[in-house]
Amino acid sequence: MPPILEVKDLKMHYETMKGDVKAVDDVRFTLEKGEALGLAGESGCGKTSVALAMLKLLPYNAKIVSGEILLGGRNILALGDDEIRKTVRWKRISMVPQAAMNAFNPVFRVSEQIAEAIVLHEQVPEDEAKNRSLELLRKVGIDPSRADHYPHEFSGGMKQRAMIAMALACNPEIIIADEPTTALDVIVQAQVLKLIKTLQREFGLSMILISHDLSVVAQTCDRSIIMYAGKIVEDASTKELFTDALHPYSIGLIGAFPSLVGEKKRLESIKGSPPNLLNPPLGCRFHPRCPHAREICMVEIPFLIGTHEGHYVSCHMVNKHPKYA
Amino acid sequence: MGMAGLIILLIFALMAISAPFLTPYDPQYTMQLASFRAKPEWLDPTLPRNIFIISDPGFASSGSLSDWTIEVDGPSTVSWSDKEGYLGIPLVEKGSGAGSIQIASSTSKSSSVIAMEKTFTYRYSPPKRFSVHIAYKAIVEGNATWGVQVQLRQADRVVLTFWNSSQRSGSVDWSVPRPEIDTNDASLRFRLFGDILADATKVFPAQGDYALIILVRTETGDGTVKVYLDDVSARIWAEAFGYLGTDNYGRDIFTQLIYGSRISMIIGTFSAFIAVLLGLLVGLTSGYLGGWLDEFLMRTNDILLTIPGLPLLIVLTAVIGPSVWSVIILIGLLGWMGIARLIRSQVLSLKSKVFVEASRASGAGTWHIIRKHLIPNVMTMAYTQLALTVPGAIVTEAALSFLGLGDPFLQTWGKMLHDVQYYGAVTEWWWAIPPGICIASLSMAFVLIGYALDDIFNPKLRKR
Amino acid sequence: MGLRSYIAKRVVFAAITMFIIMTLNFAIFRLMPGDPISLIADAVRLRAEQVRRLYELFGLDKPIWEQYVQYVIQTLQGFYGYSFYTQRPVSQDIMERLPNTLLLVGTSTVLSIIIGMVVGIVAAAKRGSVIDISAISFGFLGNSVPVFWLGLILLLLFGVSFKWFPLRGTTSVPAPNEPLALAADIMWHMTLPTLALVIILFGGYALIMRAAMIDVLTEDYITLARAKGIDERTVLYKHALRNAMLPMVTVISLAFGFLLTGALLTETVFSWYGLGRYIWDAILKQDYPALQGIFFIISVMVVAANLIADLIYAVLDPRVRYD
Repeated sequence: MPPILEVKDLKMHYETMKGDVKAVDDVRFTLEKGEALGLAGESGCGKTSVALAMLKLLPYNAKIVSGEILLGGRNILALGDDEIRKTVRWKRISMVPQAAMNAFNPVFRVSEQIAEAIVLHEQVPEDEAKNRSLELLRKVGIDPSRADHYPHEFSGGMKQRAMIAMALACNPEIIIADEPTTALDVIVQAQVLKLIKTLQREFGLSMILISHDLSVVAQTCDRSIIMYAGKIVEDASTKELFTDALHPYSIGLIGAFPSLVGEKKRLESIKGSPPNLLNPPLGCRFHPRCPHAREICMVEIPFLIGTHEGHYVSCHMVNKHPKYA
Repeated sequence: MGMAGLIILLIFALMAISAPFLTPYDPQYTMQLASFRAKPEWLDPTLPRNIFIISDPGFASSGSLSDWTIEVDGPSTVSWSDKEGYLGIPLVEKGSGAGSIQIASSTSKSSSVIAMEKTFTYRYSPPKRFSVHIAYKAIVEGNATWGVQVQLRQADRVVLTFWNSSQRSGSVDWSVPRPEIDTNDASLRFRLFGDILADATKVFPAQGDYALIILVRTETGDGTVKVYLDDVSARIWAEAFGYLGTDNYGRDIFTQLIYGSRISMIIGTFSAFIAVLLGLLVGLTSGYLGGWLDEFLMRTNDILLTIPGLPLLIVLTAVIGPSVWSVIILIGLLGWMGIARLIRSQVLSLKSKVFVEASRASGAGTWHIIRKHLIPNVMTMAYTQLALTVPGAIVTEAALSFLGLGDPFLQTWGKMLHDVQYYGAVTEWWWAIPPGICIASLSMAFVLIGYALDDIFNPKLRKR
Repeated sequence: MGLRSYIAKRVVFAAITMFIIMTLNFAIFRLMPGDPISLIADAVRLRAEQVRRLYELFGLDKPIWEQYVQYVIQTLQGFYGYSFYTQRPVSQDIMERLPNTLLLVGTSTVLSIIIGMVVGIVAAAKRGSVIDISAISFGFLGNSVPVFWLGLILLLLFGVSFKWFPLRGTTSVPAPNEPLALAADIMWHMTLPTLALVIILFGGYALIMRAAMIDVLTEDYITLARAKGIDERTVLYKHALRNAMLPMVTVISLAFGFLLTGALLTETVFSWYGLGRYIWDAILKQDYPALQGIFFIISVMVVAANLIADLIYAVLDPRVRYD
């Protein structure tokens, strides 16, 4: 079955007064139908930019230099604004944004805002849309009696869940969840993640989950992609990534997150900080912080190479998976 | 942007400082420089300028006689005397001191006619006003009569008699009051032209050569008579004067404009200063001390904000009496509210930051540290607010003066506009337009500077 | 629940403000050196008995507290004393002129708010465009250019030079009888003063609208609205505007006083038969009762406008009701 979404060699810059910020560089990956894909990395590594590009929601100073995003075979980057609005946004790809606290318009009621999307894309009468929004809210565990409240009357967790309900309103094929659990406390976090997972399975959704928190990715995603400084460094099934990470950065990241099970290890943090993307380092963008860096890393950009089926790494030091060499 | 503001401000500052050099007149008290509502000189070159026909009206030296053409018909002499001179009227008019013309008729049983003529060429369109000044004295001994006449010979040889003292016997000291020989005098116009509504256009109807004639007639019986003439001047009043003409009192408008910059800047900055000072005080106290004082001050703040400013100012000024200082203080008293709010919120946000830090430091040092951190931070906002409050003060002062509530002795730009409105001079655009442009430019300068300051001190607000 | 207590609070606040204004009004005119009776007495040379009776008539012989109470009662009943100049009750003078002022003020307010809002919205949506720059420029100019001067210039240009508009008055003399013609005549006379006011005022509104919109447009819910597939127009005028309106309402209410005084000044220039002209004349003739009455009425208008704005704000912003 063809993948439902393909990102091909996406390259994106932000134009600023000081120059071009090379935010996304040669990003390529695929999303299968029904798959939950995790996009992980430090803040500023480009993951949100990739997500916004899919909905063409980039700010005015963002420039897509090259690349394609194929949705069901068609390049959505080539579509006009009107087409994107009518055919892609919310109808085929929807989003649960970062900090859903602020994603609801404070002057409209919650049910109104959900129904708005339904009316817009499916041209159904208002009361039918209202009923559907109540139904959706129930699905995410919000009592319909609260549907007519204003966003500021909802708690943080409730808002997040309402946000999810809204994202599902038009039965999209793909949902992008951008840091769905940041700003939530741990208990609510667990609830929300469980909810996302359940809904994804129930609706057969394909999902891209963006997070800097590897534990979140580990819990919910089938596949995980690690990004660093605008580039993909590793792309593998979650299981394999967490057991056999190959890229030095991935290893460092996973090591930096404490695990509840297993032997007690010392927490290793990665020395240094992410580079300034105005003038990224030559060669491999990670080389200044990499304990294994050699001369070649400083001059040549590593490509994403498949070490074996379904496991891609971009690192000069890794050509073949040690297990499958 | 701020640079533009600074440049404009500098221009006005220079204008204000060099005012006495740019124009020689005192804007308030130098009246009647020309006809009332004279036009600017550049507007119409055919309009008459101020023409002072006699160059040395006081006859300060014997040489001044040579200006005149003198014809003596009869046994009399005309000479220059340095013993007699018109001394003026104390507190009213300055005299020209020693130096006068003496006409002496000493031969008995004779009559003489002495004519002193001053010719001049008139090149402009007919003027509206013409006036002559003369002072005379007569010393009669015995039986003799004398008379003085002021005449004008027009270009077409017609002679107009403006004034006649009529033949008189007896001495008279320097003439008090002086004869009023002015085309502004309705009776003179009626006498000369039979028409009260005439003006000097009938005196100088065409370009050409005219002559001012002073005629003295003496008749001696068995006595002698000496007639003295001094302070003889004749003036054709300008219909075009200066760069911007004159106002309803004949004051130079350009002068008022230039001097207005001083007053506007002073009033603007002083009022703004008072407002910012008050705002700082209230804002600091309110924000720092908090509690019921804060509540009370802010409630007062809001109430005062609701009371309409200009009407209150009108009422207060009407009652207190208009004067520069009352205007300055009142504008200041009514302008601190917005600033207080801003300062207060700034203090509140600083308080939470600095307080924590300060409390870590030694307990005794808390006050000092807070003062040291609070005040400088708040001061930058105060400077910005100072710049931004000045335009409001300037325009408010202009509005008050426009309504007639400004200091009546001060010609501010607003007062100039009041005059325009009051005397119905809307058509005189050279009078109506410049004051407004000045008000707007000076205010704009401060606005630009204020926003530039805001940019400098609050760069984070730009990042959007 | 929340809404009612909010309204109650605002009404009480307004009432307190009015009370303070009345007290101020009373106090200021009592602070005057001399009193109105002595002014008249000096001018007309009354006998002592007549002077005493005048004092009685005006209630000036009673202690100050009684005078104050009487003043408050009279004012609340709508009696503001007799004008020195016209010899009529001030309230009558005011009532004759008030509708004209309201007409001018109302029209100018509505026009400048609408124009300001649209310009502000477009300026925020298209940063750096011509509209953006002119919005900012007019915003600055509105603060610096005196409105009465602008009125003079407009009068000069369009009234005197081009002769497109009349030079004075609210209506022609004699005024047309037929209501439609009368309305047209009034509107023709109103054009220039309204133009002056709108030019000065719309910039300020545009700036605030622009700033508020810029703020709102960076909010997450706007990005989300776009993500939902809503077209840009609806995003601007429905989602963004509702939120940007809130600071606007506050500014409109604060600016009402400014607008009113601007209208008063403009009226004098155009001899518009309203309160502004009344003030000009009252100042010239030192008609203190008139000034007192005008001050009171103007304050009432401003306080009322603020109150209405507060209520509108409560309707627009659901958050405020639950404080």
